[in-house]
Amino acid sequence: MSIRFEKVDFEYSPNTPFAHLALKDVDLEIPMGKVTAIIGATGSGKTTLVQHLNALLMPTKGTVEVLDHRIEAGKKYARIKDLRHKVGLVFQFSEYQLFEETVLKDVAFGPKNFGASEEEANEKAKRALTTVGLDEHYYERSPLELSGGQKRRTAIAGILAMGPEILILDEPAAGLDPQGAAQMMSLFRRLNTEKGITVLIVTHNMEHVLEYCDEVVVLDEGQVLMHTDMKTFFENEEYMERANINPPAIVRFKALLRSRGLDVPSDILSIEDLAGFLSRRKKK
Amino acid sequence: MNAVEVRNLYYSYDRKKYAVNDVSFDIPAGSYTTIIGHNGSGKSTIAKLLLGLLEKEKGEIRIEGLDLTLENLSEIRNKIGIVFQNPDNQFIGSTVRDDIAFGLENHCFPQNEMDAIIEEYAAKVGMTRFLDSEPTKLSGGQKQRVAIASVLAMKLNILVFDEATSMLDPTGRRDINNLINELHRDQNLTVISITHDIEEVAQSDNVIVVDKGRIALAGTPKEIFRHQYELIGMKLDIPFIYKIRNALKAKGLKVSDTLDMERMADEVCQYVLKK
Amino acid sequence: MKNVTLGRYIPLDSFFHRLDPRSKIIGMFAILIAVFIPSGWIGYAIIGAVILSCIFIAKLQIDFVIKAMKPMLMMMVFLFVINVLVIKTGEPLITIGKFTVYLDAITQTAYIVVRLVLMIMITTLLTATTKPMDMTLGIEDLLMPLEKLKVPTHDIAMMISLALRFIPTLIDEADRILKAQASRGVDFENGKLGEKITAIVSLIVPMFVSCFQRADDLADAMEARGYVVGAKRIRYKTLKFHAGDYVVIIVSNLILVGMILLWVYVK
Repeated sequence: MSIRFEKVDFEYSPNTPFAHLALKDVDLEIPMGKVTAIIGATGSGKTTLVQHLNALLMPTKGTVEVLDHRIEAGKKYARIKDLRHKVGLVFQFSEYQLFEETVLKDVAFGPKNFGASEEEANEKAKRALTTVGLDEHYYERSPLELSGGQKRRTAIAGILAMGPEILILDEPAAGLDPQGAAQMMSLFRRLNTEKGITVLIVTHNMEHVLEYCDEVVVLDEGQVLMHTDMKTFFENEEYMERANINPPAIVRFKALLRSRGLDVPSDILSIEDLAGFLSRRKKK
Repeated sequence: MNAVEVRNLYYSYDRKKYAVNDVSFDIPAGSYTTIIGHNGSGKSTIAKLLLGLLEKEKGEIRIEGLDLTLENLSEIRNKIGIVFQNPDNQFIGSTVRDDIAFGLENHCFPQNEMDAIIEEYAAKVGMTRFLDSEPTKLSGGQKQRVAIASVLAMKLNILVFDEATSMLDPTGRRDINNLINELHRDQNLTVISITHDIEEVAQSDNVIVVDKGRIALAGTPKEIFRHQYELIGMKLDIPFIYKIRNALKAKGLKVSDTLDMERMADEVCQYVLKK
Repeated sequence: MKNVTLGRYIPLDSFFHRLDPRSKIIGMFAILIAVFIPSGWIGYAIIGAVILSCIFIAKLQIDFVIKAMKPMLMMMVFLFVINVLVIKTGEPLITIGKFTVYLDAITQTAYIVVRLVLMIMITTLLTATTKPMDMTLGIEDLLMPLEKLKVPTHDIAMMISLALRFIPTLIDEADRILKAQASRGVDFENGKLGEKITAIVSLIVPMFVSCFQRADDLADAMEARGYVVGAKRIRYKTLKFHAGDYVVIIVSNLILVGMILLWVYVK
């Protein structure tokens, strides 16, 4: 089982003067059990792509396969609810989806929609809140009076409580301060390593891709420009140039060292490894 | 001469806890000052107080020597402007032209001069081609350019950026940062930038660190980063170059406290490659 | 939601696009009143012909105008059913079982439908050829005499123009929240009444929260740029009448007078 796009086109407002082809002939296979980063400039189709994974958008051409679901262009799909249960999608600025009176109720909203009883839903909600680091003091508070970061975590708990097998996050760290962002990203990494959840993250932050992701998908004007594992991506200057990104600081620093005649091995991608290599080189 | 002087400033949202607590600082005219602090530390509150968008509880604020009072807000806002975080929520006009005109209308600029001013400032931010475009047709970065032009057109010398690039993609961010630097350099604009971008902080003239409504540290970037462990304690980031230096130090390699990546690379190579 | 054509501005270059919004608003009102005068089929035919040629001059596609009427279709059907049930005068036309349809029911409905169609056509002509911002300028200027009666005409105009400015932003926002809640298992199409209500609440509450947030931000941005409610401002754009504007005002008012004469004469 995996996530597969086959020759997928998607067009917004077809047959109108506002028609816009957002995905063009996308062929893509995303492996299960990994953390995959989806990167690309604004308007490259990242958000459109991920909204196909829980049938918020239906392909105008081609097929999308997710888990045991197969969605074909032009056909009505009956098992949407089951799909949305298994594929959790967290929107950008997700704090704007909170609406219940208390944090607990809001987080339990998803599970209830998917048929959990009041008790089960509350149980799931409590577990999800613990996962995102909000304890019982928050249960009865109004989501509206929380800080920005806490709201964001509540919204993410609302998706986690549904118990998804695939978790998709659209720019989850946008607008948070650096430490809030780092906590958020390590949470997703943990969900993947500890619970085996497949994670897809739409992001612009290359430091995050380097530190927390396994695979990289680059989109450009609605097409898949490349799909590779994270290490290969950051080891190849040519790849990064084609993807038109500003490399992470460590990669830029390595390039500076190399241009000065120091042959830093390409698989060094963390500060610790680099310092270790330099001190070994020195002793030689 | 100081562009901004703040003395013993207090502000509270709920009358229980001070969001801004006994804050004093000076910002020299023509300088580039960054204000850092984690979300909720009180940075944005200070920015709003400087423009009189919030009414200070106690203390003094002087903008280009003029004491901020309830009576002279209009004059103050002719001296200091602000660009906010959300590009959509500060686009007031229905086109770029109308948006730049908005401030001019409020400050009663002569009508026959408006067109020339609008065109001049649109050109300064590179938006001449989009003068008659509606906001829905513009990217986030372009909207922020318009916001900058709209504020600058009111002919002021001090500009506050309240996380003005945090909602933009990397291209938009680089773009706006370059524009701010250019305006600072070429037009001698006093820049006060509230930011999380630690590389921007490293390049500024002065840094003010805010924590729990108070000023925790103030000085040049080098002086501030000397307190790197305090910064981390205040949930703040430190520049990559300091992280490298720390890691090297732990391995017994000593390098200087430069903030320049190229120089750091030079030093490391010299150190490692020398026989 | 994004395919609504009623009230949408179509950026073209035509005689009507170039007109002063004030003359278009005055002209529209004259024709609207004319439509309400019971001048009979001849009168409606004249008005219809005038409007159609205006639409042609404005370079608008006729199916765009027809699309604008779609939201009204249900109302027209509803009117027809009510009239058929209620009006029992005139020649009986068809009898189905115990039920008879009378001629007057048909003519009455036809009258109303024709009037509605003419009204939509004339308002579409106005909104499709006038930028929202120009429309507010026009409204503000036309309301100006009311300033003496302490009506805050400028504030009203500012409110209208901000509302128009934020409609696209809010439509995008609603779309996003709708999808976010659908991802949490909300079914906006099917479901029982209780579920429907929850679904709507899950959309409305976040919309309110976000609107308040935007309003706060916007107020700060406006104030920071020196806006003070009720204070003196110098307007950037001023409106000017040209020859065409006088023509439109005179012609539209002539039609109105003509309809009144027709009505009196026919009676």
